[in-house]
Amino acid sequence: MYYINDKRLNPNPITKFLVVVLLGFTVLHSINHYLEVAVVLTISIMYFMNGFRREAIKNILVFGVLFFVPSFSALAKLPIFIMMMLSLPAIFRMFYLPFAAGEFMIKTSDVGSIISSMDALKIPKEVSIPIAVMFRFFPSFVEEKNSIKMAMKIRGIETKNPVKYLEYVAVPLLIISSNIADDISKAAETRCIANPIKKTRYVSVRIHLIDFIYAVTISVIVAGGIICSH
Amino acid sequence: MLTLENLSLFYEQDKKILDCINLTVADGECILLTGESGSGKSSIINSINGLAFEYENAKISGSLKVDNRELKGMELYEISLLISSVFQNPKTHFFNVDTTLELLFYLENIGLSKQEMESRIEDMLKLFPIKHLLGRSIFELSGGEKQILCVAACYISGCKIIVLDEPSSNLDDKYIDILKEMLQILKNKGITLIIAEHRIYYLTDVADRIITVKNGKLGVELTKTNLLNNERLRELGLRSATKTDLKVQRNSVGNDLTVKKLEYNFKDGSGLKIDDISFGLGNIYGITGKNGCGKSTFIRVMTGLDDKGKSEIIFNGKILNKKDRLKNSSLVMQDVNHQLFTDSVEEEIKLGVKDLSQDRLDKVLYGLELTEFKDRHPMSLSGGQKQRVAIASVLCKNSKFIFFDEPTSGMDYKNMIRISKLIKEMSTEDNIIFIVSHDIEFLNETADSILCLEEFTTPASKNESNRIIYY
Amino acid sequence: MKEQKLKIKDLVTIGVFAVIYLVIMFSVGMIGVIPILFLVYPTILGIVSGTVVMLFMAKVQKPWALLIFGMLTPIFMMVEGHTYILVLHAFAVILIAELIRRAGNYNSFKYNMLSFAIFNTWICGSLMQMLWAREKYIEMTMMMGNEYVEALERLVTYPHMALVYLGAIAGGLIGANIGRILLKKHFIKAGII
Repeated sequence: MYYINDKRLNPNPITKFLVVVLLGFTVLHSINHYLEVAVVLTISIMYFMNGFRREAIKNILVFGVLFFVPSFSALAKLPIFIMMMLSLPAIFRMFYLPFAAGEFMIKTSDVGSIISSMDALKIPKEVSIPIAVMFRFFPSFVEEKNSIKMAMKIRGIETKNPVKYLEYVAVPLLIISSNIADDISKAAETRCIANPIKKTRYVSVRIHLIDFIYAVTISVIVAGGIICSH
Repeated sequence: MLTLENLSLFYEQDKKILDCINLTVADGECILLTGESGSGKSSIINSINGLAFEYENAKISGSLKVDNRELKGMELYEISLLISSVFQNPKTHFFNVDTTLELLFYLENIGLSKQEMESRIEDMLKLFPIKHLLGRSIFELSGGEKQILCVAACYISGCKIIVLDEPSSNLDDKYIDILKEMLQILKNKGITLIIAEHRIYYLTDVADRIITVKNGKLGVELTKTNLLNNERLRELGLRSATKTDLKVQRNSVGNDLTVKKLEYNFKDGSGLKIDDISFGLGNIYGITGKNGCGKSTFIRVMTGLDDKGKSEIIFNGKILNKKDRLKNSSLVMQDVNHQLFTDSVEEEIKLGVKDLSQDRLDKVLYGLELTEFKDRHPMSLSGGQKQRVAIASVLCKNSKFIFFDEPTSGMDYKNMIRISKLIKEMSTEDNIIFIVSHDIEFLNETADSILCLEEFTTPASKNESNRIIYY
Repeated sequence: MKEQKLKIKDLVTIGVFAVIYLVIMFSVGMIGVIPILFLVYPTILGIVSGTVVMLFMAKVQKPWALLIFGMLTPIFMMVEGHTYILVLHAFAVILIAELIRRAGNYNSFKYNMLSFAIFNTWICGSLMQMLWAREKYIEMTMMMGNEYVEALERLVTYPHMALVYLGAIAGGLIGANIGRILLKKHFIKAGII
């Protein structure tokens, strides 16, 4: 393999996605707090094994804060308006488990393996090409947006009117984006993307032991949690 | 063998872009199509690779054949199985984020096995030492590196014909040399090359035939003696056929604006460090240096757009902070699309300028030959016209410091001279003009003094020194 | 019917506009820092994103383009922690929008406007999943006092949700019309579409 490492400790994107969906059930059906902690620790261990130390620690810290903050009884004495503001962490807390799994998926998967996974799942090109383009276009979009903001700053365009402001940003941005869309598709078409034969992928999607471990651990925790709470 | 027979190209019924082109290209031949902007040389390239029909709604008559197979009516992917393309602007013409995958994208699409892909990379690396470019994010690469990757991808695809549309227009000297070397290698491998280009000096050794294009028709073939006659080339709208050297003096003159200190650290560990350089009012300064030495950073810091770098800049004895600089600076960007915001040329020029008289506005419009486009949408104009709109707004803002970022990328001789003249006319005793450019011919024509930023870069990381050994 | 099939160019356009839509959605989502504003979020989103979606519909006048474009965002949100309910809800809503577009033969402004108004309600799914997960939410906020929980219970109800949907439709209609004005003022004049 040239410069793309086959990582045996990194589950493939399909497994990671399944885990995200699975953890989605915990939003609707509460599971025991200890089991939630177990899920968070599992994800942090996975980060750690793949060399993402900072993410591993951050994951635990954020969950720790979300876990303890709503428990301060002093909060109940605050005026209702401030409580409204504070309920954001509570909402975030609801969605934290699938969110953490999703972050894990995004941070540790390269685009090549995501595209290969979509092929392996036989996702039609009408869906897989737009998704591949999204990964490709996002960094370009950020670059272009910054250039436009720079141009506005130096032109001294300051307007208090949000509609006007939106128009100034949106018009060049949408026109440039349309041009880039043309360029991307020209590049793709001259490289035979529309070729109807069966394509191959340089990055292959393999199922390693780690995929089983990751999927089974989370399944057991979620299933166990839901059964116990009923 | 590639043959074009009576090839004509129309946009609408009446708008004829190409007129009866007849051309036969033998296998392994290198053809250079040259001529001024809008002559139709790029349209020939786009007819051959099929993009003209799919993307510009052009109609065609006549025939286009590769080894007696008619290309007309083929799907784009069928044409692309025979012909590879290299584009003018490497910045956006790619599909993958990872460089290795971009290189192999064509091979994936034609269904090659992984072993075959690896042996082709192996084979390619023997010809082109670009190992350091593999396995990276394309967004980290400079324009030159992207273009090299694109040419390498064409080789890897195994196509016998490669068409290139102004491949050098966004490259600096160093990368033009590399590009030339790569093209020579491809030619030696027996690959047919068809190149549209108005900057021809780097191709005179590689090309077998140099054919001029004018008003959609093929013109005379240039011989080696023609190439030495600069007058003749100018007539055809071409740049010099020999490499030009920078003739402008290096030491800077004047002392109205002093950069006491300017420091900036890049992500890769290298940095830009300037102390005590002065610039004088009424002068035009060219800023040069190879790709990635901090030219755009220099502009961002000088104009006050940047927040990160450290700087101390003095004008007429007073320190200018970022806000002051922002107020007194104007910038014409490389991609002018970024700085056009409104729905008419007139509105565009008025935008952000307080108390501008109609009289002054009309004068500026007239001077830039924009009067007839006054009510048009700026985005509907041609590239050169858009640039003049941006210049018009700069003129009306009456800034002390005016910056141009690569104003001539992709321009032929005529347009280059035109913008050079415009910039010289803009220069007054009350402003300083800075031009960031790697176009030496243009700087010779325009600048009073040159500042080479390469001399101010602090030692870079190991990576950088490796890169010099490779491409 | 060769022209009606989605080509590479259309698929790339879908991907590019999906990124723009996603970015707008998240920037407008910043107002969610004050949770009560969740209720007007669909309306504001409709107003702000109208231009982008109307431009998209003008550029790609083919079957299923809107459905694919529309589903990319919910799928991405699911990876960011939302539940499958959001995705299923979005699918139902956007399918209706797609059918309305079809009825207008993909190029009628009136139908495209209605289609966008319905399309815009997909985001209400993120509130619906809170309604369906009410028990859990209340359990989470229990510590904040009974008063708060009661206020919340009074606020997040089915009739109120109906208002949110209406708001989304209204926002969609306003956004589509702003889009039409800007399309005429800029994109048609500039020759982009």
